[in-house]
Amino acid sequence: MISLLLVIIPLFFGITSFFVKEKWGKTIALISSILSLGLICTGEYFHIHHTQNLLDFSWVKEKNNGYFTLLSLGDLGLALVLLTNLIFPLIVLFQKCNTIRNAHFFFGLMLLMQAGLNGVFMAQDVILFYIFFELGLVPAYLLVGIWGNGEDRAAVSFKFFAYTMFGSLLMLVGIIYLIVNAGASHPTDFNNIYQAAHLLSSSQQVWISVLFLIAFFIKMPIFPFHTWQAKTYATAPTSITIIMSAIMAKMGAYGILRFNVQFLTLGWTMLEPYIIVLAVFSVLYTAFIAIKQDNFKYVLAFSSISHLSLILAAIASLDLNTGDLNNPLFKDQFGIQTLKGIVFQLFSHGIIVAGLLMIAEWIEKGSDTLDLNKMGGFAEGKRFLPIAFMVMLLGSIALPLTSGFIGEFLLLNAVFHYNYWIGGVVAISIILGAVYMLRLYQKSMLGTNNGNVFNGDLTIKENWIIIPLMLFVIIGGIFPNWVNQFLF
Amino acid sequence: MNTILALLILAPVVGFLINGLYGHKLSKNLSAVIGSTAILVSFICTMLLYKTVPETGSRIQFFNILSLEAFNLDAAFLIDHLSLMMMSIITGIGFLIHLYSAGYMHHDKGMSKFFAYLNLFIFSMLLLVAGSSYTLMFFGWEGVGLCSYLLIGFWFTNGEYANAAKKAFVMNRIGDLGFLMGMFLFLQNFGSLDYSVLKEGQLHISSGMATAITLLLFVGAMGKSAQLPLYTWLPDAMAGPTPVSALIHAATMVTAGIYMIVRSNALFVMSPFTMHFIATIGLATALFAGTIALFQNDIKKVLAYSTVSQLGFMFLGLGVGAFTSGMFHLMTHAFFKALLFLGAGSVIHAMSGEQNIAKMGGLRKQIPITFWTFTIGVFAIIGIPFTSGFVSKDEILNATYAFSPMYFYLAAIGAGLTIFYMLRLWYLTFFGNFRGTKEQQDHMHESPLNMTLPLMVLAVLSIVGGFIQLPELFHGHPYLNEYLSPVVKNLVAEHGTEGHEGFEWALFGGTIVVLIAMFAWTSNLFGKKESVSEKYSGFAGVLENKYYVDEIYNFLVVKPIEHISVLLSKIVDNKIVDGMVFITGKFVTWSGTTLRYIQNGQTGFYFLMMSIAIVVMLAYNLLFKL
Repeated sequence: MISLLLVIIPLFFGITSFFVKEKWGKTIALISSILSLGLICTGEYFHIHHTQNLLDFSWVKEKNNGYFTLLSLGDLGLALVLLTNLIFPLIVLFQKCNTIRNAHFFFGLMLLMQAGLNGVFMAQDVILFYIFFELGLVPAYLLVGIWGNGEDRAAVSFKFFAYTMFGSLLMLVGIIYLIVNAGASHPTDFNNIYQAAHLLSSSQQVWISVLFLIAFFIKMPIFPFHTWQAKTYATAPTSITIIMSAIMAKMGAYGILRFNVQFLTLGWTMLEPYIIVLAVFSVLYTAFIAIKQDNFKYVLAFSSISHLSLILAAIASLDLNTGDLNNPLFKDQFGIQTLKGIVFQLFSHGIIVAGLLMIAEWIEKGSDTLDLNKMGGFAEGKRFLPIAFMVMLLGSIALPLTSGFIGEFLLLNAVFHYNYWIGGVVAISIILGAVYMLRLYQKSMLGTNNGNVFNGDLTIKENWIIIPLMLFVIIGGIFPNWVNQFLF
Repeated sequence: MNTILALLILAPVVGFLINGLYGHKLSKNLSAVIGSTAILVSFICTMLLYKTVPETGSRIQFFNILSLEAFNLDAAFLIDHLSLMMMSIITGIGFLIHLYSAGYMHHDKGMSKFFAYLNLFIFSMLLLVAGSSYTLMFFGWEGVGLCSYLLIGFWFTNGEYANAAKKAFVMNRIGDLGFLMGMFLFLQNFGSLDYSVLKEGQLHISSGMATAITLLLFVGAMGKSAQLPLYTWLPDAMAGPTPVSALIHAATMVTAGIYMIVRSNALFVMSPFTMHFIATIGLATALFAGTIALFQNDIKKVLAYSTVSQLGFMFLGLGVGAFTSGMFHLMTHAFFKALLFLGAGSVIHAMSGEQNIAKMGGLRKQIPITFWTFTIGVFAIIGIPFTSGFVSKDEILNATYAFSPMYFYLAAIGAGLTIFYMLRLWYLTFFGNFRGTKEQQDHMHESPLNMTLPLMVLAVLSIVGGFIQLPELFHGHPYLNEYLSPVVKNLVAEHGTEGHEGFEWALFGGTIVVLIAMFAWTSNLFGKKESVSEKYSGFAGVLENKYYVDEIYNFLVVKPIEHISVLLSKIVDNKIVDGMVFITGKFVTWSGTTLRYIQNGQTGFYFLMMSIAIVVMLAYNLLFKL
């Protein structure tokens, strides 16, 4: 019921928003997102009190009473649904109403995205999964194309659209192939897909895996499928960039865990050695690129790829059982631990990148530029902005006592466990991360001014938008056990 | 005991939060009082713990931070003699420096921020030394790095300073990477990062694995304790306010590497290779930094290189197996180096911000308290007999001789360098004629009591600090060795220094001769300087320019990374990777327009295509499936 409402409510309010007066758009979005927040809180209540061991991936569920679940809040998706609905009210509050034309359409599309995202993480049926996957994409395309910054927004959004559409179509081929093989009376049900996928031969699994992987790599994105991203992040309205980087990118990781790791296990284990190399390359490649970027948001965009590539590397380090469905998916406890680390980091990265992008927006608003070479000395005379920025930055560079550390520690440990040398190489990213993030901070906040000035500080309202995110970064770093109970 | 410990750890956090969140509403004095009181509370608590702690130490757990399938992390602290010793140094000297800062930073508008950072630093440092696992040590390890970053860049509007701060953080991160890898390897071998696995004789790993783990951990120590080749951040870190240099970059944070190795001594002794490596790196650093210090004119730079050099001595001591001697030198060095830095701060304060000793001279009369306390610091570091520095350095030299005479001779040269550059500094600053401007001359004043009081306390400690471990030669007793014996294995004591008495006397005599000669020589060279050259030629020029190490790193590491970044971004990413995407897009458009002709609406053509396809599929099946 909760899972259904989590899709219906944003969908309903989103569509409603198209038909109301412009000034009501934000109010409706706020009501809807707060309702969703309430729902997910209720869901969490039930989760904590009534279920356990959700991350046990070896599920062949008995469905003997004839019902098939379409949506389910749990398992892997729980953390991501929680992330989506926790951040959404903040994003709605963050998005100014008076700076955009046709605000009610804007907020309406945002809500449709939310419905899509919630749906993707809860779908228990491949066709439904695909529909929600696209429901997340199409509004994003419109939002970038219509409300984006800069003259070339149409071109940028087309590239984004073409790229992701290309991936989606490949995925659709994979899905159809799986459905055809599932055969049974409900071929689209995850359970049947799961069983059918495991019966495929290794070469079949590899080819289907590749189809899915390209779609998910584009979404995350991972080198070499990332070239749409930086430009899109910089062009999109910041609130949409937040949704894309904090939540939509996680669809890719979620998809890989669901389809590749869980369903096409054999294909995945055969591809793992190649993928881990690709992921590690992607981590370092984008970290290097981030070092000399001059646009604030570009730095964040490349940093985001780098962090997500590390997540991919950790996924590829999982040691899995293949073949017999009755075996647990993970060979040992370490695998489950890594999976928990991955989920934690997916969540934590979402929060941190959201905070950093908000700061980018506020700096741009205050100084009228995103060019790092025109900033400098913004910390002078401000009390709150430097602190907020610093906390988010520390989370991003994985300093202990922030949530970023817990995630990255577990992920790096997993890759190191897989192979010492690969682990050692990928860990260089913690140095590079410090280099580009501190450069970002220094160029904007420290030193002397280089052109555009930024007077004033964050407003009270802005403070209250970012404080929850800051609190999470700190609490997640000091009491990760407490946070974990909500995630899995 | 739990309450005391909680209070000890949390008092700085409370100070940090009050000054950090409400600092803008507090007066400067109140900020200083809150910041200092917090540390005083910690210090008192540490003293209280001395009575209650059992000899074997006690592990106190507050809560569980993270528990997963194969990883467990408790917020637990290990209070034993070693961590108590470190905590006393940190909170004791920390408190004195807080007190001093209240005077030193009085003109600064960021007073509350300053005290907030200092408190946060003390908290991180306490985590580092009191935590009961490598993970908690790492928490503190990175935490002090952050505080160091924040404090070096305290005057952030100066781009130089901000750069120095970034450099310190990144260099430390390089070391931290090693530490992290060491932790992973440790975790994989022992299944836990808690110190409880560090029981001698229970570490069942091959010596190769021990070497790998210890070398990786030592890389962390190289970064944090500024050893070759990762030392270049420390001299630059002098950009921070002087009390910060005294607290973080001399007395406490930079000794974290020493503490870490002493804490893991059971593991390190399993790898003779690593021990040898540590001794070599320590010795090389001591000499290298010692020579650079010879021709520096910035008072804080001289002290900074001196710190690097003295840390080298400590590592040398550890490397030759004299763990307690390393700890002992850590302690005495904390006393006299904090004293020297605070004294330097007092000099700089008196000179209205001037740091160049070429522009000082003859200051002993104007600022007598600073002069006398600074003198005690100088005497301690150069090893005037029976000062604390003499005793601790003597121990390391003795142990080094037992390890290898060659290392001993080199270390003795290093000690000689120390005498030279410290006396040069002393003479140029306090003797001869004043070489500064008239304004500075008129403005000259002794510092207020809250600045001179810490100087006096530290001066006393610098003299008497060595008495806890006077050599048996002088009828002393190794109290410190005994005190640390439950935690630290002393290899040198096991091998015994018996029969070395003759050597010890020779060393003592030699020290006195060298000291007298050096006094005569340097007094002649620098005692009555009218002017000091600021540019040196030949080898001295190379030394003055710090062997051009910064330039070399810049050329070999920093620039290439920047070039790679630009290359990847501008060429590879924009042209090649995105180019491929573009070509793919073009191909799709092209094939779209081309394939359109196939869809020509003629049924016959469709049938033809279908037949061909069927034939191909059947052929495929026949050829490959059968």
